[in-house]
Amino acid sequence: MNNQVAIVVGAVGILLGLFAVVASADFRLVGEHTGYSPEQPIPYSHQLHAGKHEMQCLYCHFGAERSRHAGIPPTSVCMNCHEKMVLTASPLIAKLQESYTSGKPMEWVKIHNLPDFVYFSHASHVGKNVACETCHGNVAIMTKVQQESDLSMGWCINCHRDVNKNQPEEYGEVHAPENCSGCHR
Amino acid sequence: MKKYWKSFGELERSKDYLDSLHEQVPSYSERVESFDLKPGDSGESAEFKTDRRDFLKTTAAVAAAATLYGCARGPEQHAKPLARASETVVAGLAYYYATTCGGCNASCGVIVKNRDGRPIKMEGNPDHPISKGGLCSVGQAQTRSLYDSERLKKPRDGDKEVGWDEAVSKIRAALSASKNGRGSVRIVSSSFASKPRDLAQKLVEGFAAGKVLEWDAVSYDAIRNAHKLTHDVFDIPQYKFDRANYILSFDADFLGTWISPVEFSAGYAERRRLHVSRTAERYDSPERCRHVQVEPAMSMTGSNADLRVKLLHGDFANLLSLLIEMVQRELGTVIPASAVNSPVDQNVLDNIVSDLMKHRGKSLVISGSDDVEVQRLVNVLNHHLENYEKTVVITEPDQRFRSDDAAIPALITDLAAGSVDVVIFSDTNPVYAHPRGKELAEAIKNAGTSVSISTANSETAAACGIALPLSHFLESWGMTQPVPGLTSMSQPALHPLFDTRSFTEIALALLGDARSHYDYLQGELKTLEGTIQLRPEFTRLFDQIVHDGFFQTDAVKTQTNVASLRSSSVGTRRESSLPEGTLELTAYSSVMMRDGKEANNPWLQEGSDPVTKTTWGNYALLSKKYADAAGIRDGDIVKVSATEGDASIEVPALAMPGQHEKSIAIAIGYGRKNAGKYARGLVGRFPEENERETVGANVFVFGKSQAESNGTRLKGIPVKVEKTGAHVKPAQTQEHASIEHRPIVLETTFSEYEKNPKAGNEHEHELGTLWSGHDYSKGYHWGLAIDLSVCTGCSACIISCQSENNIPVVGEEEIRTHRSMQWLKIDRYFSDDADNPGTVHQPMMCQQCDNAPCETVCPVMATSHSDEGLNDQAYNRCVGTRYCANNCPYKARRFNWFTYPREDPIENLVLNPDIGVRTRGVMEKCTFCVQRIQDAKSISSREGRKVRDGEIQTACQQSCPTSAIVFGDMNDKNGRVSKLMDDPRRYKVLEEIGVLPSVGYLTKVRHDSKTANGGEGA
Repeated sequence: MNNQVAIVVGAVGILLGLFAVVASADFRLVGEHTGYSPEQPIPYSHQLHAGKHEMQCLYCHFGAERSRHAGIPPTSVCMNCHEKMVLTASPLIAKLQESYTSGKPMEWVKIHNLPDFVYFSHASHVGKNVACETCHGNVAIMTKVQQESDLSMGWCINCHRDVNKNQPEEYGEVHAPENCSGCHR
Repeated sequence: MKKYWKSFGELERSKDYLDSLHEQVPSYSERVESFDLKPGDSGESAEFKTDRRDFLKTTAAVAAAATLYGCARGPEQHAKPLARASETVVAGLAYYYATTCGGCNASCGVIVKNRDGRPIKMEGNPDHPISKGGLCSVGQAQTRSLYDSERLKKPRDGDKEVGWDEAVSKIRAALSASKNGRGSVRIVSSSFASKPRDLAQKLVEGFAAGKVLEWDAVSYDAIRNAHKLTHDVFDIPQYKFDRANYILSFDADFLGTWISPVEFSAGYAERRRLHVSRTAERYDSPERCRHVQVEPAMSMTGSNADLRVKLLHGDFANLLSLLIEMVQRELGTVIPASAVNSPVDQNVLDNIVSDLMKHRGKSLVISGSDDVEVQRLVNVLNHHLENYEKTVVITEPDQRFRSDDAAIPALITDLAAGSVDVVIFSDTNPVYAHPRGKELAEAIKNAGTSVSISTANSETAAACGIALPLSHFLESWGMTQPVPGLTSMSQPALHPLFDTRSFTEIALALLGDARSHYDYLQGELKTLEGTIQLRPEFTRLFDQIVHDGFFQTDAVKTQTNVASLRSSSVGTRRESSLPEGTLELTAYSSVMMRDGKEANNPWLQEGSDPVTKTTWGNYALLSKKYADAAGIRDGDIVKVSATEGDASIEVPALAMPGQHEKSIAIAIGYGRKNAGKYARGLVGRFPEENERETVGANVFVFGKSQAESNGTRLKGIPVKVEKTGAHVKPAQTQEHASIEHRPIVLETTFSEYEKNPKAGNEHEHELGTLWSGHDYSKGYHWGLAIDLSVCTGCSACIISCQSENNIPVVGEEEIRTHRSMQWLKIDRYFSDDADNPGTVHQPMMCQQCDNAPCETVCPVMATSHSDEGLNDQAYNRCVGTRYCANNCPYKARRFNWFTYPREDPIENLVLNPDIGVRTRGVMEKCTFCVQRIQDAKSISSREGRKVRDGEIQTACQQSCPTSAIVFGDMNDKNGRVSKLMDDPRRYKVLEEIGVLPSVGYLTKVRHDSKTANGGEGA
């Protein structure tokens, strides 16, 4: 008898616990990270660079046109401006200086993570005139970048189906893969 | 119609074989026993008992915990861009560098695919004059050797690791002490392809008794000695297979391992193919090369021959003498009738002679024998047939193999006498590979200073006081001159992984020369003969040469003197001298293992031999007749012992079709003690299951001293064979399953083909279908065509596929249970006569069926059809029901039974980042290298065009030395693949079951061997 009471109490406890998690603001489905916005080693502001100074995305993320990876810019790209011209004395830039002189890479925190079994190519999308903000949101107003889209398979494939059906003019003739091997190999 | 079979078991419908057909994969019971578990025993101990309720509770708790955990964020991930980036290198893009393959001395041109600073794939360089775009299995496996975490990483002196400065100064001190004393120094190296030889010579300059010795485990010294006798030059000629209408080969495995197999395969295929290799246009019927192979055991080359004559090595000289006499008689010289009987059927002999006479100046006689007399007779025959300077070019001799067989016996004598101060071994391993290796290891102790330079640990390194780590060729600069007029360049594709140096760097340091390898190379290039130094703008020229990977100049011709040849006699006949009760041993190079240098390369250990289909070890190959008479079953471990001396080894036996009754053949290159863990079989999910002292046994111990050159002979040695009573199941990749006499391979003859291009492929099927079909009209429709006429079975594609697609190595035990993981296999089918069968090699991979049986049975839609005709396989979706593999008529799917270890950070560098690494419980298969398709599509779509014909090459196609595989878009009606698909020879495997595969095969066409079965030797 006591045993049964214990089991009922335990089960109710687990259910309440689950409910508490689900109801909380932090709850999300497995792998869904919309709004993720971690602290970076330097509080780099896209709003300042891409917004106020209107720097092109591709100046820093120069891999996006040719490679699978858009790439986080190497320290040497930051130093193109910050070595001699801009804010050279700032204590935050000192971290860049140190990385640049020592050759030790900066450890930026990745925000947009796809699972290892997904092969997404920036080049294929940028090359077809898909604007950066289509997926990344309006980075130019973000002082601290956060993940805008959920990057789920449903979200990807919806867009692929959409463009295949509507053939938007800005993309030219488009044939976005809807097969498994388009992204998984 | 011909009857095809894969094994004696299938041919004879033996009981073991029929029993094995009941299961797709053999029972696990044998394996369970090896874990000490009995059926019914759950493997639990008494203290830890779980009942059903506890199990359910635990499961529920784990599931709840996993759900909660999954809702939390995963661990923070970091992105670390380079601090200082090169302007030209973008993360995620592949870069390609031309260099020269260092897998063997053949010096094929390669293009190394480099991703994020590390080489991940070896590809053939299509412009290179030697390899013409092909690359063999050993070349393909070089990235795996590069990332061998057991390589030598630091110089070693005695038992302790030392720095380079310390090691170099110690050797320099020893050298200068010797110079001032008796000056006895030996540098022993594998054949120097060119420039480093000068440096080695410089090292011994000024020494009273300084010598540079070149020695290879597999040498062609007999050919050089024979040309010394007949042409007065100590050289190997260049063989021009692309000019030969008739090839008579005496056990030369020129398509597999002999001298320069990739180059020879390309030339051979050019004379046998029905389509121009690069355009798929039909040839205007040139004279197609006929190939006769005389050999005791079936080699890969022999399996491609039009006519195979079984003959022991001991009878080669007799047959050659007879042929020379008959040819001379045909040419009008009066020669008295021969007293010796022909070792082969008179009809066969007459046919060979009439063909040789018909193709004078366009024929080619070669031999893989290491008997100088046999090679001399080959020269005499080639001379009478006027082949010199046409198919056999001795005035522009091959520079690649300059091994001197007499080097090691002389060295042992000197060392044993204590008369050597310093001995340096560079990239050579005579302690393992010389028959007197044990003696040598003892004798090395008498040297004042002994040094070994090698990339990996070896028996010779272990015997030497100082071991210096050599850079892999992918880590170093280099320049070789394989043949006159061609200089092939090497450039580093990555910074050395460990604290290693190239031979040139070591030699420069020992000479006290402060130049870097790069500076030295430029200096050498400037002084090179020819016109090159006259050109301005050297740096730009140098960059161009490095970019191309080679450059060509006018060849300098060598003077020969054939006076001795004109007067030379055929020589005295040697009666076959095989003692009663013995077999004649042929110690052959296997396509994967070659001389054993790559014994620690698991890709090559697991790559199956093209003919025997065995992996992980060498087998004593016997004729079926002998094995039956001696009561030896496949897998019985036999003791093979020499009739003279105490050499003996124990290896499992295997009966092979096409083997001479008195012949036994065993592959060299196995039995490496010091090579590393893979050479001991430690691989797979349960490495301890596979562990052995050595994988296979060392056959070099049987090598016999040869009177003429004091060198070694590995062929034609009499041995005794006894059963030991032990038995092991051979680890083969093909013998299972049945073809049920279905027409899997089709073949015909050239004469039939000329009459009817559809010969051999007449059957047609009226196929109805319940399916609505797929619409491929909008985009691409990928297809693959494979020309069986030129597929030699060399298996380079298997290793290429393994490298490209991150295919795990499973180990010997898993191969035994038929769980090989290679996505591409080459099936070998024998036909007709079991004593001397015909052979067809057939590459088999996923056929990408339109009506794919696998797709309809997948319960989770992990495999589905793409709109480009591929059977996509989403690994992350697969739950491992294996329904698809059971429903696949081609057995082309591979199930991943275990999470194979991927823990070694160095070894993991070999992984291709463009395709995933699969885990346990996932079905894998070929997808036509979909990563390459996607890359090319991405580029072409950005450029606003369609993918060009030939722009995408699958990994198997790229490496094929004979261009047997063609991939492309079947919607492009002018594309190569479409033309081949429209060819009358094209058929599809199991077409009658209506699955509509996207892989087309082209009927094998070869010459009719009128006397195919008459080639029985004495």
